[in-house]
Amino acid sequence: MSAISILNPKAEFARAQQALAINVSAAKGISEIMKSNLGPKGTMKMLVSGAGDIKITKDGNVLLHEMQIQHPTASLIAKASTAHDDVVGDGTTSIVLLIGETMKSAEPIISEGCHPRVVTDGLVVAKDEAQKVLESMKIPVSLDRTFLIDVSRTALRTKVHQVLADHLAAICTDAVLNIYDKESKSIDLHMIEIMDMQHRNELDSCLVRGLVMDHGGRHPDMPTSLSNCYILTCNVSLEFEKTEVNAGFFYSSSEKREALLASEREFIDQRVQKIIDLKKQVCPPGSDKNFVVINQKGIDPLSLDALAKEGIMGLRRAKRRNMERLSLACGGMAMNSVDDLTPDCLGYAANVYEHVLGENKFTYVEDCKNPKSVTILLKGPTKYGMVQMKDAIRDGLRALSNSIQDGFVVPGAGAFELSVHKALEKLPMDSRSVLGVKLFSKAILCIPKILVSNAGHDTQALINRALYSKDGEGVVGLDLENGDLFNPVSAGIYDIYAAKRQLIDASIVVVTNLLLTDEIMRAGLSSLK
Amino acid sequence: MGTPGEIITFQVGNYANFVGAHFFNLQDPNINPDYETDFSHQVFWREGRNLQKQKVLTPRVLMFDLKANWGNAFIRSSKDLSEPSVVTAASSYSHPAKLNKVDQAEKNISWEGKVQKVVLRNDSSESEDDTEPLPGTVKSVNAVKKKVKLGPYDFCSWGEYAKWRLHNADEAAFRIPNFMYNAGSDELVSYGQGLDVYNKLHENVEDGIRHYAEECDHLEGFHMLVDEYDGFTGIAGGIMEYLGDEYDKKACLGLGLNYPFPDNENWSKKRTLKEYKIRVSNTAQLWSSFTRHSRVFTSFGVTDDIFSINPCSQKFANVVQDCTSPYISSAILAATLDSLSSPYRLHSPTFPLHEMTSVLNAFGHKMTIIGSAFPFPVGQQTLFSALDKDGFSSLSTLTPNASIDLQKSFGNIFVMRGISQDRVMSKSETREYKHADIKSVTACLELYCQESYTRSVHVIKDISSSFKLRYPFPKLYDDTYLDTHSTAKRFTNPQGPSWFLPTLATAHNTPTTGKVLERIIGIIGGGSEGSAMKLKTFYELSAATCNTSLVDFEDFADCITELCALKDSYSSE
Repeated sequence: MSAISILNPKAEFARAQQALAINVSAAKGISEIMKSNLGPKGTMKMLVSGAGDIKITKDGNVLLHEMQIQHPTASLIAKASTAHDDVVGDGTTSIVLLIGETMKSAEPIISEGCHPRVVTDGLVVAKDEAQKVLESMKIPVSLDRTFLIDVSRTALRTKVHQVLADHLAAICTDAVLNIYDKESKSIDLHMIEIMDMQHRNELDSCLVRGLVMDHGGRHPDMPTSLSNCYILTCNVSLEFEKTEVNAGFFYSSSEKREALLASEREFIDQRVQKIIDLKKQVCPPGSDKNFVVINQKGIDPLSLDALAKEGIMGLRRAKRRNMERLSLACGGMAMNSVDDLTPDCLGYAANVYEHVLGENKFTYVEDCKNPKSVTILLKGPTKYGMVQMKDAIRDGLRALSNSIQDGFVVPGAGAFELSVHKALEKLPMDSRSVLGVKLFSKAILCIPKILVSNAGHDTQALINRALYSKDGEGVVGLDLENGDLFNPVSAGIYDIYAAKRQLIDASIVVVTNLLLTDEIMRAGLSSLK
Repeated sequence: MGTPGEIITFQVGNYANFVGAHFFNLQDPNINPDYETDFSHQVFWREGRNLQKQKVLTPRVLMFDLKANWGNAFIRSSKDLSEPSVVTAASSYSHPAKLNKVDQAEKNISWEGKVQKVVLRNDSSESEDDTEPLPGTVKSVNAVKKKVKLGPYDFCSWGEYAKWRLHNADEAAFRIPNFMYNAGSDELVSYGQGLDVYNKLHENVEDGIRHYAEECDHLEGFHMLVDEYDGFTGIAGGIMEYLGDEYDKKACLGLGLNYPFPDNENWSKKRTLKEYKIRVSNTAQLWSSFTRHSRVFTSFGVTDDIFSINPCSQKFANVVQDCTSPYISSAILAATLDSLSSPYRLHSPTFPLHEMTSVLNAFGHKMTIIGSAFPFPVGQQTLFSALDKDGFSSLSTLTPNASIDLQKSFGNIFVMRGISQDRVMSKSETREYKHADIKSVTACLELYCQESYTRSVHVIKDISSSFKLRYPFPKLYDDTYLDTHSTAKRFTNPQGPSWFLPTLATAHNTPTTGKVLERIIGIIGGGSEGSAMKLKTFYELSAATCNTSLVDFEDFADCITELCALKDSYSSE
């Protein structure tokens, strides 16, 4: 009988063995689900929503977010492993699997009567050693394009099929290199816009050195394709807006009202005129230069008309974030008033054109001089394919920005996990920590094992070869293509340093917490603060 | 000037979608083609093309509801299919031959791969024992009821009777899955939770708004339908802040909707003190967000007293249906909104939304009261004699806790629909009151208002087309009552006749709203005589349900201060 039931007779609780069993079964369950999706050869899961939308993915982060997890322990594991995804972008599935495996192997030991504290102490020793291994294996990152392509390809291959992954890897790398700020050594991934277009083939996806916007001019006479363009980005209302003052109680006769409205119109016309004046100034008649206005606020038909007459392309209601991107991509600055317009405020793009796709219009602002903001344009015939690509690109970009910012990567293809195992086997230890270390050293092998079995090769044979034969000396990875061993560095397979550190840290912290839980209770608290 | 401005509607919350579904059903362009009505569909509907390149009109709406409440609404958007699947179920009576078994099975394959059974509203076998409805008899009431099933609990989700589709459901429909706010329970209870959800989806929401706005040539403003009792208030709060930022010059009409609080199991659980406190704090937070970012707002619902632990719904004379059903009560609200919005839905509106709001919010009185007489009981009399005899006694308020006091109000808007010119005065009356120059409905009402309520400003709008009561709008009254008050009756619909009713919808800028505000401030314990302790208990209960970093105590106290300031603007007069 638990003490809590004296305090609250309605409380539900589970103690000691029972509590452990609950935690272990949750950890095992969730890792069992994710198991088949690990690695470049992993299989996919199809998620169907109540409304019939389909998502096909093997991205661990996406899976954990989309699945409705009821079990409190399972949802804790899911939260812990996805927590760093925003930053790291990779390695979610590995964390879940490692937690599952460690819990599974800890269960018999604790059932036999060993105190969980002994196990967790050993795990901490193992963690320190694993981190030492990680430090010894890291490879410095250079800003070389082929090297970075290798890094992003490794991440992307675990999300989409190989040919597409290779294609997207090049796109991601070029995008990141474009926006990398050499002086401050910083990368702002927000400056990469991801646009999707349901059109053609996945392999038609491309990098646009400029911006693609999802709307076009709204006037039939407006030019749809211009070259050699000045770009004016502004946040000025070019729309006839009937403000509160000219309504209701404030006028006595309809003539007065008309007069007020007319003066309001006049006001807007003047603003449009100022833009046209600037256009005339920078694009004298006969020159091959053109003018584009991109406005964050609205432009009404009369103003559009005036702009169209001058051959100006006008876009209204641009995305707020695009205003910042535009000035980075084309130069110039975003104007909040038309009063002090000078040619210096203008940006430049070699080509601006509209692309119509069914009901949707897209406007390309392309070939900017030195774009600090670029667009990845995803194309694909199906919706679910595009969602898949979007998630993959996101992770590919994170992988790159992390490895550049960490300054290090580690050899991939299971090399790190195999080395940790080897190091832990050799580690001299006292009798107290031996249980935990042995346990972890066995558990971490689950990742290379699952990688191999997902690729359809003989798990035992290959892993044993890697661990105990002569081929397995030094840094060795698993060649999933041929079921062989190879050097991941020469094959160009790199994992993210931050992801591996996260793998070790997060899994041991969660496992420690779960193992040390001796009682689970639900005592009518509607929510925990 | 004459062009109608576009309005974007938000339906935030389950009940808001109930009201919205009715509201758009009433305007359905497929049964009210543009050339047949005085109304321009451009205002609330957008034109698009489906894959067959046909022109389709779809509502310009962004909707939010919990995933569980969607049912099978909008599985496909109008882009994919011209024939809405919801209508297939509802109108199968008229074309039973069209239904293909395979098609149906395909449509209803559910999650686990099981085939869900389609419940057809009108089974063709049932039609055999149906007799031709005879208008006016009790028997026909039953017959009609049996056939069309418009009872209060026939529709438990709004998707079942909404006849319209969304154009691009991916962008405009936000199904909120439970992991986003509270994995343990299926409910979105507090403002803070809602705000959290909004922060997670704000990019998509902002894109959705922008897409609609970019298409509009004369964006007029926004209609904001929000459930004011639960966590959807937080989502609305987030949206309002964005609108205030980006579209500050557009008019925004905020409608805080109140669930009719039926007396059933689901709701009895919610009648505890704790739930009550959370509910009132949600309302207060929503109102303060409305005060900050909207032009005019109101609380809207059939509930009698939203500040009691056991709210119950108002009784409407003559309504034969159960007003505690969301399907029925939302129909009453939608009908009022339909009438109230009709002046700015005209082909060339003389009274656009921003003018209406500026009448209602004069002197900073941002909260308004909405009233309705539905139908306006003229009966067989003329308008003149009806007003002479009963005045506006048929007018009932749809703002909970507020009464319409025409004597005291500053500004009133009356929208009268469906009374034709020749019904204004009879010949004998014209002879009798020669001095009065009454030629139109507007003139008649104007004269009456000026004579009776001298202190206020009256804006009177007269719309000639009547309100059409027809399927799937519930038949709120019995046949006899409808026949007495309707101006026409037609049998165009297989589900029963349509009635044409005169209606009156009103909105008031009145000091009685100050009392409503005073009440909520008093309950929460704000204002000058308030106690910080009391305020704290309200805050803590609602904060316990969410991430406290989003709404801290100071924010909450600020909300109440905001409401106090609004209240003071009423009492200073």
